[in-house]
Amino acid sequence: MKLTIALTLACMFAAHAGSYSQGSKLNLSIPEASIVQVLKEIESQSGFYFFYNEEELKQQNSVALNVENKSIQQVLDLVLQNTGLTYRMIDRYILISKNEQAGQLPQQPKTVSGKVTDSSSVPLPGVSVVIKGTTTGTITDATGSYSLNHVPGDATLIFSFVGMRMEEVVVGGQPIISVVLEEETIGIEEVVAIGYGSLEKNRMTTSVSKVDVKRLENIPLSNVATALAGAIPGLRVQNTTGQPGATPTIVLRGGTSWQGGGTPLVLIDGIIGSFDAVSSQDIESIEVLKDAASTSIYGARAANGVIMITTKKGRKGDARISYSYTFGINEARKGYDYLNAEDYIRINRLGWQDYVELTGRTNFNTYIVNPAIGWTATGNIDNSIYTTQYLTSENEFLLDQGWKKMEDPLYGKTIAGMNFNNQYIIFQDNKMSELPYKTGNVNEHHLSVTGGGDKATYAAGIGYLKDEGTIHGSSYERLSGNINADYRITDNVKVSSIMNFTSSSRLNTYIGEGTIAQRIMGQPPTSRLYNSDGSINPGLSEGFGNPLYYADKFKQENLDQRLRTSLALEWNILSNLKLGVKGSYYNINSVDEAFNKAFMSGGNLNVTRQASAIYTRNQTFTGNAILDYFVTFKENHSIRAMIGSEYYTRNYFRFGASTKYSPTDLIPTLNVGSEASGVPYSLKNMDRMLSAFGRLNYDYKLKYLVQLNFRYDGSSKLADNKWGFFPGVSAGWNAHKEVFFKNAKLSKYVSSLKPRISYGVNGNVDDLTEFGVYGEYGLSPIYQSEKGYYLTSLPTLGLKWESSTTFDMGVDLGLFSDEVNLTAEYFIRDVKNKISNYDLPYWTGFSNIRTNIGTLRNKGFEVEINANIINHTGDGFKWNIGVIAHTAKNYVVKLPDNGLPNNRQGGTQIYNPKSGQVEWVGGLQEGKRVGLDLVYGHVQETLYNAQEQLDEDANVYDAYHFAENARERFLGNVKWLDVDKNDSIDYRDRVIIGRYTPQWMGGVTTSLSYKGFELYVKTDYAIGHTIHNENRARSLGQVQGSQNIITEVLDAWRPDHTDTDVPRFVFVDAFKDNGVRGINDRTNTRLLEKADYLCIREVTFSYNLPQKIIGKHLNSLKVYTSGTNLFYFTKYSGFAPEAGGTDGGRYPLPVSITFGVNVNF
Amino acid sequence: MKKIIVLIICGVILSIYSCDDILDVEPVSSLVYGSFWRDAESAKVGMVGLHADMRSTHEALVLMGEVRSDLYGGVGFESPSSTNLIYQDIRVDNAPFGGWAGFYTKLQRINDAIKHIPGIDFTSSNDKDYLLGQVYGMRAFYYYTMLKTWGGVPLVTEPTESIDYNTLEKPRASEQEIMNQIKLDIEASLKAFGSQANFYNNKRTYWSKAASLILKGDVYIWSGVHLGGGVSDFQTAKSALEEVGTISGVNLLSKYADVFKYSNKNNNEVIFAFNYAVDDGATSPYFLWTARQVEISALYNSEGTAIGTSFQFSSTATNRYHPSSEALNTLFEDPLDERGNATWIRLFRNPDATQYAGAVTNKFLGTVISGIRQIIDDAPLYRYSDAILLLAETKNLLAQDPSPEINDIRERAYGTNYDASIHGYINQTKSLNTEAILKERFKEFQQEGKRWWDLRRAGDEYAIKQNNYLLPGDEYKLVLPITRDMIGRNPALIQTPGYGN
Repeated sequence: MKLTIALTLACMFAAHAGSYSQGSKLNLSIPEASIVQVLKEIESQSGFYFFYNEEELKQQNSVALNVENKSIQQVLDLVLQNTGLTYRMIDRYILISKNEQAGQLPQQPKTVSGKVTDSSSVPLPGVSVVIKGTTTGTITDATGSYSLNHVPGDATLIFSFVGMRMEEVVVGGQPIISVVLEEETIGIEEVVAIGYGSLEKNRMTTSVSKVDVKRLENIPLSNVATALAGAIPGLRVQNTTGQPGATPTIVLRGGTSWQGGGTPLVLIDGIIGSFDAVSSQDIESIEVLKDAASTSIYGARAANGVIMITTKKGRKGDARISYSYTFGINEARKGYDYLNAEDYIRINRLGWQDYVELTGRTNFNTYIVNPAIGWTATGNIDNSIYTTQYLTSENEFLLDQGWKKMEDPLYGKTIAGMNFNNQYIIFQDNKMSELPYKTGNVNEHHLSVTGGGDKATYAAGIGYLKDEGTIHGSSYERLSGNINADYRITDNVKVSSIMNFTSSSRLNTYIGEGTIAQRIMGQPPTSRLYNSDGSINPGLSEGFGNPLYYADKFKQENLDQRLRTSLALEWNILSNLKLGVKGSYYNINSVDEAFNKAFMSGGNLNVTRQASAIYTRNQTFTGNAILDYFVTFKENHSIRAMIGSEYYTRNYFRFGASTKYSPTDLIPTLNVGSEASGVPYSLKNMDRMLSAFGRLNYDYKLKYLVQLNFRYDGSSKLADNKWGFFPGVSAGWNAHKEVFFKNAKLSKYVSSLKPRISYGVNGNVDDLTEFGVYGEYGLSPIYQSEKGYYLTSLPTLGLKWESSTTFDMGVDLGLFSDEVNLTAEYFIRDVKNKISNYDLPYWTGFSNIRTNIGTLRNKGFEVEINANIINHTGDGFKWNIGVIAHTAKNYVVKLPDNGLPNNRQGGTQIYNPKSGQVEWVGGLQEGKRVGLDLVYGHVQETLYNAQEQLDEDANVYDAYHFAENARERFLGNVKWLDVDKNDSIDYRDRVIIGRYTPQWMGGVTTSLSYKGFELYVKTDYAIGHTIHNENRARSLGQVQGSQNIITEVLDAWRPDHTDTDVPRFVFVDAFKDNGVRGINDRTNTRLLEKADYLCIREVTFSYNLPQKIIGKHLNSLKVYTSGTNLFYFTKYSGFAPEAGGTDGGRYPLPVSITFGVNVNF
Repeated sequence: MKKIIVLIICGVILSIYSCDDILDVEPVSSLVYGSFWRDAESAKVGMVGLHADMRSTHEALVLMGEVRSDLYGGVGFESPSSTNLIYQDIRVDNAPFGGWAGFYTKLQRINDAIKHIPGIDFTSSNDKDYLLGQVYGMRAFYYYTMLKTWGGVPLVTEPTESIDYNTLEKPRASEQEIMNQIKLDIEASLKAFGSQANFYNNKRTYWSKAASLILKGDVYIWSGVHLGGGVSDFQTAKSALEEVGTISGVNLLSKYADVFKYSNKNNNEVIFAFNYAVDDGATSPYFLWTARQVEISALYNSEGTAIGTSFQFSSTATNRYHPSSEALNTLFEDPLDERGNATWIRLFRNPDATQYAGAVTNKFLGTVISGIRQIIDDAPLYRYSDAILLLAETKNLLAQDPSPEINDIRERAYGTNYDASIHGYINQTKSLNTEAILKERFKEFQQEGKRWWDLRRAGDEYAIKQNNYLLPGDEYKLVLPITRDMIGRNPALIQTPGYGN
């Protein structure tokens, strides 16, 4: 509707096309404005660029202008009359300066020349070069070169360019002065994208963080988001898998779900997208909107924050071609050490003996003769899975073929009626834990071209990346293309188009990542790799088998094609009124294919040869119209207003089918399947949103800043309460612009100070499915060849928007001429009417229901410090350190009244020694911290080392032992802490250990550069949290019966080795000493490990070759080498501390070493 | 120009208000609440769903009805499952079947059907009555199973349609109240079935009048024994069970093994069975009664034949339930009784078959499709021999002679080897008859989820006496505790007596 209006209007007013050159005529009608504004207006209408000292111009009175058909010279003469200013034109560049002929004449005037480039050695045309204290100066030409005559020997040259940090260089007699201008990351002219527009940083009143995208250039990133770890205050980025291409878990400020989750909205050039398949080389900037006053412009979708990615846009000037290539190697990170075969056999056989003798149970006797057990010495013959055999005259020859021999630790014993008469066991010793891993290569190419003229600019890039993972099967390949083009149809109408295409193909590990890291790595070292005929022995089954056999049996491939395209029209109706209309289309086509070749499983050849293909299409269309207005009145009051509306629709389609009994391994597609497996299906889903939004910025003399904004959203996911209103308000104070501040002594150190405060509201319906609120009848499984339906969820028509209100207080502080910058922020976010599952009594027939359940509060603090410790301009010797730290805690403010104390939901009961009561902890309880991440377990007090200790505890009942052995324990067993001292070890005796959520997170970066060399180090850290190391617990407990065990078991208690905290090894953790204590509480505090870590995430060393080496044909040449995921400082014993939670075996991030080169032509 | 700007702004904002209908999106691929119970067709689809739903309780039914008994605890090839049930290690800490084993989810759907089916127009009122007969019968079955498992449970007969946070607490009803509801539902079921004793679509995998009748017999014996119903309940049970035998197409097969053959699904002995098929999205629990090929390939069967790869078990086949020596000794005590080998395949370490290693099911061995064994037998919940032996129970309880029924079963079990003079049973004292019926049922129904209920129906003293892991004083363990989670969600629940907290 509103789209139509806007489009029609745009067409009606489309004006004549025209172009400006130096001879072009200008039409201007400006009632009253400052000179700066007049110049900006001329810039916006013409191809001219002005350079001036803003302070000088600000002292001038405002002017009124009404000219028609005048040349630029005529206009400037008019504007600058009586101002004492003059101008100088060089091509399209106009320098405005004081009309002073006077000044000290230089002692030894000389000609100085040189070249100005940006940090990636790209020449900068149009840079103003002025002799300090004078108006004498020039502007660099298209190749970035300049030449200035009559420069005094003691002069200082000032190089300035919009968006770049100003540089001052003392001439000191040098004839050639070339400088590198750094992009201004903190500074008054920095422009920040704020959603449906942008704003100078000094006008900002809300919490927005910007990513240093320059840091994305040097390492190949199969997923850009992995580089955000530790890079943004308030953003927790957890890389949970080493699968290349995988998107990490991203949570802003503690998350808006009770569980602490919630993914920020990702917008690419304003279109809803994701980090999947985005090429880092196409990215111009990444901004993160954090507080509700900034995100409320995105209303209902932005409760978890907004990450705005902007792709590279064209720049005027000659075509600039840039090519980069990076090559590297991924190495698997080393995990646990496992037992060698002899230790493995000995420990398990003795562990079984212990089991029989201590528990009196015979149910595992069968294991001693079952050939499916790696430490069993019977039944293993030629080609069996395991090699363990008693030594006989027939198999003695194997010892000559590298087999090993040991004495059976059970030799001569009679256990459970079985006699062990064979003295020796022979076996192979294979390093099974290394087999699932490989070394993978990574390659990335990227070619880009930018350029443009007065009317059109363009940026195009094409990239290719292939990243091979470190587990068999896994790899990722991506082809990306990006074209952004702007075209000025008339002097006040511009069209912009974006076309971005990516095609990525991901192969997954041949079997589940957890299975590999736990069961496959834990294959017995006595496994037989090859049969006597040289063929590969598959092992027990796919989940417990030989990777040499299984690695190529299962193929899972995902092909993902994304097309993102948009067309935008920008019409400057008036010089200060602009209408933007934009339509965007984003389509994801995704194909998942899987095929199982024939494979041995459990001793049987499975020839099902299941093949499946699933096609998914996700189409979104967004159309919006935005009106922008700005005005300055009475010189010091400036207002910017924006109002707009948006329509969003998403259509989802999925189609899938599977077949089985393909006749051959050679064809993985469905066409050769001989029958359907399951029923082919297709399904459609859709949702829509309609929104209106607006924003008002006001400032007085750039000192006092206020922003108001709102969004009004309607969603099809809700029934009776579709609409929600989400306002935001924020204010800031540029204190350093106050006269009293400038006069204060403090200003010597404090160069800028901006306190700001904001409050806003967001909505959220992410937790709702498309039609969930209407209650659903779901399909039953097939019964007697028919499908049935039954009620699966209740209608909740009254459900309303979940709304989060954020109160945010922050301060931006600049010290020592902004060489040190600090931003600190404190926030409180209340998520009200939280949509989540409410646990119901089971009699209702539903274990929970979606409801507006209560209020969740996040409270947190963030700080970011950036310090230039050394900043020499001449030789470029620079040392910079950046530190980020953030914390967030989640509280339960309100829950629906359910009659329980604190309206508690979930949780568990633990004895509290302080109160002497059994109390509910964890879960959700009003007035307390969210307890879903609470970690508790039984405390291992010590190990029983003396009979007296055992006698003392003879009456202690252990609820986790077998009922008939509940009061039995032995030397080397764990003595558990009996917290309530009631002679019963049970659920009440658990103790709170900590939380899965870290207390502090962040990162530290530093860069050191000198004459083109740069060393960059990036780290991230998290501290104050706990990991439940289930992988270690399962291994030490030997809960699967035949798995290899980590070498920690060598330290287990034995009568002759009592100085240890590793309990006695008893088969299948019969006394539950290693943690499987209770069904849901598999925790022994010894296996709840501190997960504090600091990771050396990236170390890059780069060198920009000097011009004299690279010659005339190249603009710049940079070579670099990087190491990623190099080292973790942590006490955590497992693979991947950053993933947190319960570690049941993970695919670790690889250690990568890469080399790259970047050339600019 | 200013007017235009104002117009644009107003238009933009007003358009939002006028576009509300854009947000009314209709689902294409799913059905929402209120759109389902439309017509006879949907009612039938709903009925299929309720059966698929009931099938998902199959494993729980076997665990509750049999794994708790003296039937398991022997040796096998993998660590046994459900050791807490087998060893009667029953405590609040490890309370099995949390969340009432999911039964209330099923009941909710049944209640939904019971509420809506009456309002639907059917072309034939018989069809509507048949569906009502089914849903009432199924509800009675669920409550009966819960009553036997936990004693009193919350009684819910209306579907939950909205949640009132102030009335979420609901205490357990008394056993008597639950029993009254079960009896009401059985009567409602039989009344609705009326004279329609046929099987739906001729498939015995749907609930039928015969199923409601045998359930009635089962329930009234229980109520007679445990809830003081006495003779009149036994009489009611007896006539219901006798009526089962009058239904056409319900009879004993002549050969025991034929009842379970994959190729002989839907045979006349089956009264109600759960249907399983390849790719139906359900998994028969009996794969836990098989074994991985590689674990048993080096073993021999009782004939001395090497196993090798003869079973073609799939990789999911696993050996988690191991028959106790009592179970096997009783079942194999007479080699002429065909039920032994039809029930278990015993595996030995030596060709002489003297070193027993374990056993896999023969009753529910499924079939081999393209080289892989699929455990997809239909699994009977009630079959006619059950009705016969329940009838024997009622007769014994009414001090009548149960031997004809016992002998019907034995005759079929021995097949051509049956010799009434050797194998026939002669009426004895009531308690000896009880023991004889229990033993007969022990042989007849292994793996079918009956033994524990049989013992309890005979009297709780039998459950204690027959189980090595239950001692006098353990009577409270006959009824299961509930989890702390269940009480936490519904504090009106009181823990089952005897378990403390």
